This record gives sequence, C-alpha cells and structure tokens, in this order.
Amino acid sequence: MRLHLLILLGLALSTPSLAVAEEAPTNAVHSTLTSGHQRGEFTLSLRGGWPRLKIRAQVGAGRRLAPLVELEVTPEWRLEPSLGLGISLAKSARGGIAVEVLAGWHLQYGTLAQRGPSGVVRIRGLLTGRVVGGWFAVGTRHTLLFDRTTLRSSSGTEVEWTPRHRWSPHIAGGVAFNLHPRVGLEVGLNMVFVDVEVIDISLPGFHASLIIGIPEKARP
Amino acid sequence: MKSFSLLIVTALLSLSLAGCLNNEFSFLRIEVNGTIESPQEGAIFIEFHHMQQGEGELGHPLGLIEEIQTAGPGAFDHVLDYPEHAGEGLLVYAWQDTDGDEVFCGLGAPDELSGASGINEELDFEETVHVLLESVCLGPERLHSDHSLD
Repeated sequence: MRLHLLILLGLALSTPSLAVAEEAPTNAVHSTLTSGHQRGEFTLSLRGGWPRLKIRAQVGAGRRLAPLVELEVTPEWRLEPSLGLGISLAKSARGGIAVEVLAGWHLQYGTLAQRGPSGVVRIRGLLTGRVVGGWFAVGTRHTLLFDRTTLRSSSGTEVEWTPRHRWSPHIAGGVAFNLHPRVGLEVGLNMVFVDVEVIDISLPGFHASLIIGIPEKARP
Repeated sequence: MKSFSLLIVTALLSLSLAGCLNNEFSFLRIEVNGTIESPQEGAIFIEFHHMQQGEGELGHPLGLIEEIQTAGPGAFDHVLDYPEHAGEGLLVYAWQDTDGDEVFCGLGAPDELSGASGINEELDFEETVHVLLESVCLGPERLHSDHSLD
C-alpha cells in the first residue's frame, strides 16, 4: 500500500503543475487508456512484447462510448480477435477510469486446440502528468468451447452440443509517456491466469506499445 | 469512420469462418447379444475393448470401453455405446471368478479361465459374440494377438 502511495506521489511530482495539466489538451495515450469517447477521437495501439502481441484501434462515438477492435496474439499458440465498446466512467486531463466490454473469438492451436466465442470485461485506469503517467488494467475473459457428440443407434441419430467454460483473468500495469499529442509510448507488465482450474498456469509478460492517434480536442 | 466499419466487417467475417467446434465425439449404440461358454461355475467379468486405439506413434492395442458382470456362463445382452472416434474393432474379453475373490488369478488362488472374441469388420447396431473360456490366466493383452487387426 505504501509503495502504491509512493508511485502515485512520484507521478504527481512528475507533473510540473497540476493546474497546467488540467488545462492542457489530452493526447493519444490519454485517449487510448481512458476510452477516448469524443467524436473525432481515434487511436491505434501497436503492442510488442512477450509472450503476447496486440493491435488495437478505437474511435470516439460520443455519449461516453468508444467502439474498439483488438487482436491479441500469442505467437504459435493463440489468436484472440475482439470487438467491443469502451465506456468512460470518469475522465479529466489528469486521467480517468474506463470499462471495456468486448466480444470475440478464441482460437488456440497445437495439440490442445481450442476455438469458441469469448467475452472480455476490463477496467482501465490512468493517472497522468504532462509527460509521464501510470496505468493499470484488470480484466476477465470467458470462453465457451463447444463439443459435438453424435450417437448413432437403430432408432436414429442424436446430436448433442455441449459447452465447456474457460476463465482467464488478467492484470496489467505500467507507465505511459506522452511524447507528442498524437504519439505516445506505453510499457508495462502483464499477467494472464490461463484457463483457471483447467490448464491453470500463470503466464507473466512484458510489453511496449506505440500509440498513435487523434486525441480529444483541447478544452476551452 | 468508413474504414473502421470495413475493419469490423472483415473481423466478423473472419470469426464466422473460424467455426466453433472443438472435439467431435461419435458413438455407435450396439446391442451386444453374447454367450459365454465355460466348463465351470462362477461369476463372469466381461470387458469391451477397442482392438486398436490411437493413431501413428501413439497407437496401441486394446483400450477398455466398458466392463460388466454376469452371474455365470450363458447368454447375456448389453447395450454398448461404442466410441467410434477413439479406436477401431471390438474385442470382448471375459474371465471367470471361480473362487469369488473378484481378482483374476490372484496370488495363491486357484487358476481361472478366460477367453476373448474379436470383431474386425465394420460394427453394426447388433452384434453377436461367443466367448469360450478355455485359456488359463491369460489377460486381454495376450489374447488380443489372436484377434488382432493385422
């Protein structure tokens, strides 16, 4: 807890003047991490790292909503495309909190191949100064895997579909750098708890993202 | 906004093509009409095996599907849900529990009889098997070779 306070204090001190920050226009990093919802806002995030890569785009639609599309890839293992909606819960020039709800598909290759619809709910938070900010994300992914059982008998054929549920929560956090109103960098650590109570492995990772986009216009 | 809509349509199309079927299991419900012939009295333990399970380097002979018990030699009927996806052929193996200890040829116990009957052809909804218990203390692994697919 004390460490968290120190981090928050450090972030606050990295901002020359909070008053200035309140008046400053937001930027692409801010827009990405807080579900920039103003019409005209658009961001694209390209994430590299290990073991997951991600490409993500979102566009502001007004009314606190930002439709988004993302593709998360674990090379030679998983492919997870999703469409969703970011909902801005709270937002200021200093940061914000947003919730994201996504629906998509889960494809896993190899000897333990899996495929099926998946849903993600994620909460993201950002606390930022003019140049440096800290962010976190906590999320949960649920996937349904369908099996088909066919029973042939003298009285006919019966087909039954049975779903299996997979749950993979994830946490992430890191630091974001506002390099330019339309360009930013974000680095962080992430942890996915893969298929809890089935495969049940914790897969840590690190990443760096290049964020580009058209941020929210400056406040008057 | 137009290009974003195009991206969404492309993603949706990709998803629909990907499908969602994971495992596919296929069972054949077989009414097995059988007879067990033995010169002795005693409960009969009957095992239904695939003749061969798995493929390639992971392939191996036998694979237990189900086990039932009857009071003694004679006719029996059983409905077997045969897993077609898991192997091929059907071996019906039986042994007789002459001493009533539910252990086949236990240490220090008298010898017990066993036998097997194999079906290598394509299985049908009804199958008839006849198992003659004439081998002494032989398991399905040993008797399997007499009925193997090769």
